Amino acid sequence: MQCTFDKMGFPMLQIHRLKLDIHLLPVTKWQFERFLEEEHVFADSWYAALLDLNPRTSYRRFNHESYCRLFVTGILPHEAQRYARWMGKGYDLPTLSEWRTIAAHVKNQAQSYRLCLNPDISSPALTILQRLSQIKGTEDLYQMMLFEDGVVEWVSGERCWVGVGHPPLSLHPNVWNPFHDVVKVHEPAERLHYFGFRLVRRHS
Amino acid sequence: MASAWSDVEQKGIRRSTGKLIVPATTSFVLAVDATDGDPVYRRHVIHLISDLIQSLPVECWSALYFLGNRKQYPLQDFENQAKEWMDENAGRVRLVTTVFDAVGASNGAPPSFLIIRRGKIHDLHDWEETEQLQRTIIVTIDHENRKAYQEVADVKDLLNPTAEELREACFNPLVTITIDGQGFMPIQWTNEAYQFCLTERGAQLVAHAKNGVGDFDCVVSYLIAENNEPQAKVERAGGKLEILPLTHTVSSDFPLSDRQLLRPEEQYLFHQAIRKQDIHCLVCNKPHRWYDLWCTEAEADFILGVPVYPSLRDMRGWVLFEDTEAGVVVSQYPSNVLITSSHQVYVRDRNGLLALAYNPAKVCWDVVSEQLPQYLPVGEKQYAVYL
Repeated sequence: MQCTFDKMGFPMLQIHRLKLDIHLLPVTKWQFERFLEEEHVFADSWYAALLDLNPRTSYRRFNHESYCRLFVTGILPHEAQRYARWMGKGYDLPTLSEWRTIAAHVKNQAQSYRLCLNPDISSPALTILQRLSQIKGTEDLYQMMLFEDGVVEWVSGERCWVGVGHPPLSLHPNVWNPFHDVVKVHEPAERLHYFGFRLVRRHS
Repeated sequence: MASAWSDVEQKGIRRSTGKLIVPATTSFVLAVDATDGDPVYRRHVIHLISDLIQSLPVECWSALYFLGNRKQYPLQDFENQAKEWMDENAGRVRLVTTVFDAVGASNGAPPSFLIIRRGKIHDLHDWEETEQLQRTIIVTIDHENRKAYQEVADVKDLLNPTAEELREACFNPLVTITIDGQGFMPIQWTNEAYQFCLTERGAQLVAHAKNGVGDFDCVVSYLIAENNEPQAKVERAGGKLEILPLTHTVSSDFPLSDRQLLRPEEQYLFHQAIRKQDIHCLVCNKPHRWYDLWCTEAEADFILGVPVYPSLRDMRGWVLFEDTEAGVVVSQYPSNVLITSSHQVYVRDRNGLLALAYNPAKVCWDVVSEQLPQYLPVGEKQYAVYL
């Protein structure tokens, strides 16, 4: 497996089999804020409401209890898609099938996240990964990618947007198995504090 | 004199030249919160900033941003366009990272930040305990919800300041600039505001600002212990000490003044003096001791006297005499620190003339002689005197 980077220097894993790259981590608030600065499509009140659901933590100071606060949550799929369009050509939310295929693929590889530590990585991304590795006590790529113990992630299902993932109990009590369960949302406009997203970049 | 640097490296010291740029006052990047559309708040902020811009020197300002916007605005147009810009930035997410990042890569002295806001800045805690935040003043314009905004500790903050209080907080003029370092010895420097000082900490260049103003940029040629760099400590009226580096620049010798041939009677006087024979003063026409450089008897207008060599009347500091085939020529040495060998210098401090030698074991300059002759031999048929 090889690593590439998005325009903010956050690592993406190249999945040649699926002809796409996927973010190593769910989209962080730090990344999303660069979008908010440049596009000015969401107001401060909108962002403050999101932060009320899942408060922000400093990427320099998070700990085992607060690391899920690094990630954008409470967001709706069409808002995440807007971010994806801003990111550039080929960026999109993954399908449920892609997400599970990639998670299973990474789980079988037993790789270290260190394959992403190269000079192209941005300072915030490097800080987050190194600190996350330290507090989780692992370098294992699968664990570092937070397919488990992260946020529930928006993916496109067969008919509608669904969630996939297994958040830590401190974020939301659950027994979901991301390889078998999907998290369905009954109110499409409801903002859920444990729902975030990550992006893929499809090769044309 | 020209070969004085031949074994500098062997002595654990090196020669270099550095440039120091000292901002006259703290330079601020202004970041304004225009998120809130409340017209009362807007009018107050526009008034406050306009007043501040007018009352502080132009050097106090380096850039204008609005929170949550990467675009830099021309500060000089603030008064005319403030309302339009506030409209343009209404509703923006209160973020400060872009402001701190935008100036992070700039050269020279790092600027300070003045943030004027009315709401919580979401990403401020990312900068906790950073240098940027230590150089930040946060002004909160809100009587009711301030506690909810205290995102970080240890930041200088002002609540609803008057224009005068804000001006006092921002204007931070220079008091003293001190350049020193491990084994530091200035050889030559371009700004006469800096004086050579020998202290317990070693050799220093020190400049004092009168009324906080003046030009203190300087190019310094110096010797310094290997693996060390000189630095400038800038003390401002606010009390906080800034450390500024000297940026390397091309090394070059500062030129001596034009060499000047002494008149025959002055040459005769010089030859007598170096033979330690008492002289006949060309100023007062009376006998003087051979080591006298000043005559205080002839001209009452000059309390300290005038040089016994009339040609040296306008020279001060180190003056070099060179006995050549064409006669005795003199030149003004362009520094108060006279270097005569790779690791030895002569200086004048309040105790008189001193010879200093570099001590590589202690990484400092030791005083090796305090009894220096008035005519100091500095090379073959070369002498230096201090006027």
